[in-house]
Amino acid sequence: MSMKIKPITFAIFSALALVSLSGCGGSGGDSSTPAADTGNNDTSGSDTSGGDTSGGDTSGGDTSGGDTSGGDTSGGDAVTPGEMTISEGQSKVLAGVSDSVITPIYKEFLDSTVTLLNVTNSFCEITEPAQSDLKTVQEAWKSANNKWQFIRATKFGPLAENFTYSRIQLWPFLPNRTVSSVESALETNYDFSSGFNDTIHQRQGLPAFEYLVFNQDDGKSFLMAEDRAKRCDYLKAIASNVNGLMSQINTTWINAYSQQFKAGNGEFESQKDALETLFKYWFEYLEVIADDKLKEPLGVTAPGKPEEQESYWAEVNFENIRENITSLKKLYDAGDQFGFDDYLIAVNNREDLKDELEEKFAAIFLALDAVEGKKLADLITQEEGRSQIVTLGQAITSLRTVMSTDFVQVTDIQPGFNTNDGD
Amino acid sequence: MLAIGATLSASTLMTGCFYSGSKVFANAFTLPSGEHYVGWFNGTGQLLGKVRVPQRAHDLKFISGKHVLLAFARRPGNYFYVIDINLEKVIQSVKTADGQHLYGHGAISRDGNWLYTTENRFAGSLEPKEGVISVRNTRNWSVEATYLSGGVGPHQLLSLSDPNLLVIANGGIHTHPSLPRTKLNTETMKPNISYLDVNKGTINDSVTPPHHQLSMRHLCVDQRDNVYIGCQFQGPEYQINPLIFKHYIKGSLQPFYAENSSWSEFAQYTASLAISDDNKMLAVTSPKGGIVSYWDTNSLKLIETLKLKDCAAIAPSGNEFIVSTGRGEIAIKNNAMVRNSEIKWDNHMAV
Repeated sequence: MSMKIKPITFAIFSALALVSLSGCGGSGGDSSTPAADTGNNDTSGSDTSGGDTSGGDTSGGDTSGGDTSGGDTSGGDAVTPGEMTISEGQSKVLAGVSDSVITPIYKEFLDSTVTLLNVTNSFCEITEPAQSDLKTVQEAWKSANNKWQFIRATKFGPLAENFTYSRIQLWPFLPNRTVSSVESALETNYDFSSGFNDTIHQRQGLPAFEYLVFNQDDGKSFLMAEDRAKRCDYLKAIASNVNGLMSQINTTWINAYSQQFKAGNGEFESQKDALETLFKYWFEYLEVIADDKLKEPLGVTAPGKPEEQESYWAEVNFENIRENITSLKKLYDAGDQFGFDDYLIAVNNREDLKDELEEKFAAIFLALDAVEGKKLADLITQEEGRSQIVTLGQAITSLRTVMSTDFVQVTDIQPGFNTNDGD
Repeated sequence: MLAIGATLSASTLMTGCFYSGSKVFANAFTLPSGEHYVGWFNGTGQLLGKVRVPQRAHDLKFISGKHVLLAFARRPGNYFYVIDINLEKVIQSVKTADGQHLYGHGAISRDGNWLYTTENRFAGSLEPKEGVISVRNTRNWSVEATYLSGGVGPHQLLSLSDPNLLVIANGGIHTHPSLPRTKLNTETMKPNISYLDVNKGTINDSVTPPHHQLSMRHLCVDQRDNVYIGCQFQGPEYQINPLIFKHYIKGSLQPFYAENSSWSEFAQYTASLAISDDNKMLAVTSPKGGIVSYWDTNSLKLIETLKLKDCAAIAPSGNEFIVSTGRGEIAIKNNAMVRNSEIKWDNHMAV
């Protein structure tokens, strides 16, 4: 609107430097289905080059300007509170997260996909498999799924390229669509020998595998199905596909992307930008856990909505969430390497905030302990169980609150206000 | 203590001195402390005033010819605030009826006499119910009529040049305040835009998107009553769909055109839309994608996208657009005019 107003004396804020443009857009790439691919085992030297400093903010009482006074330069040693520069702190966090968290877990998941494929191949050679044989495959799936749940929050870089994460686990997860897509593929004699070069993600990936080996519905359970041979071909195709996808991800991460991530270059504008990207998806996945994995199956009242469970057939929902939270904690604190728990002390001199975040994580694990061994589908049907789920959700929300306010304000790592909000 | 608070609390009105014909923009914002405000600024991003509000505001509307700004609480808030800009004060807080909450948006009739708000009547049932439009007079804000919105989860609504017509974006998503930000029906949702005759309370026209999970949520309207719709896709993230459409009442829904690689940049999410004063260009933000996009309203083709992290609110300023971000920036294109990292500008901007 145009209007006559009385001007008010105001402060003039400093202008920000131009935000640089960068090219964008992911081009497609078919997924091939090679034989068991163990991936590239090289781990390039984990240097922690200084890289760029962040954009000049001096929040948190830090000392900017490139000093590397006092303090240590390796994870685990004592640091002098508040004397590390932002630049050095960010470098160390990126190195810790990349080298000690993401790189190893990518390799662990890759290895688990090799195991899954080998176990599946062996299983499918059995003429009359017994329940114990099927259980071996189920356990291999659980192991691979566990590792997948750990890396799922790193939805950027090679994992996000061409929606690869969605090929491994369709997102949002849709159990009923998985069933219809899988059964449709079987009924129409889909040619699994060529792998999955089509665009229907719900017929491939870990959820489809879960359905095939855990589903107990009459006629469709694996051991009772008449088309068991065809279902075996399907299982082998899925396992091979997931292995192939993760091999590509792992190679790209090791050979190039992890270096860009640590240095804050390539597709990143700076090391701060790399950290903000990490936390953008960190926050996004925390919301996924709270909303999609807990609140949606909980529904408004009992008996809840069991059809909204992430792990509808294997029922490892709480195990998934435990892996997710463990992952988020490690992405935050880099395990026993220099992470943001150390950063908050070394750069910001905020041990109080570090302690508060430790307590928030501890509260989540306590709530998870309370539901250990229990099934989400059972808990959502009765008030006591629902109360335990609500407690878990509240603990997650409480962590998010501190991270999105104090942590962001102190570190100036801005994952996004509108970005993770939703309107 | 917030720098801008300290500065503005010390400011004084200058008598006998007015900005004449200058545009004023309004935007809700939040501080790191979690306090919620509504602020207003001029075309160079200079903050002119602010007022604290109890519930986080979402969309805002100036009442033409008056120094009054309405701020609507974000879902599932149940207040809107009447703000006197000259007094820098909330002069009235208006609550919805019991058992109802706002969806964050409102529209003023062209004659300024009526306020229309999208609301959820959630009491008494946990099943998805059609949303309602509350009709209030702008004298004392009393509800004088309530109409069905034509769909579940009505979000933004706008007046058309026909004083009897409103266009409503029914997002189709069922929510309940007991689980405030949880989407309860994404598998069965049925979004649409509907045209409501406020005299008769009837829906004159309704159109659905090409995919039932394209939640139609935000709108803008040009001077010829062409309606532009921004969607958020609730289906599988890898499925690329056009997210922006153009519609004229009784006509067909026309998708804007871009390559899949461009649509991918939106991360299935659009926030605010704005039309240039000459009606030739449409601007659409995507905070999840971190981009502002510019479209030709005649050819319906993408002109360009610019990266701007956490952008959301946008409004026309001549044939340019002012956009704000959750990182405290107020920008033209992606060139920030001002930045205050304490301020997290919210989703929508009024002008």
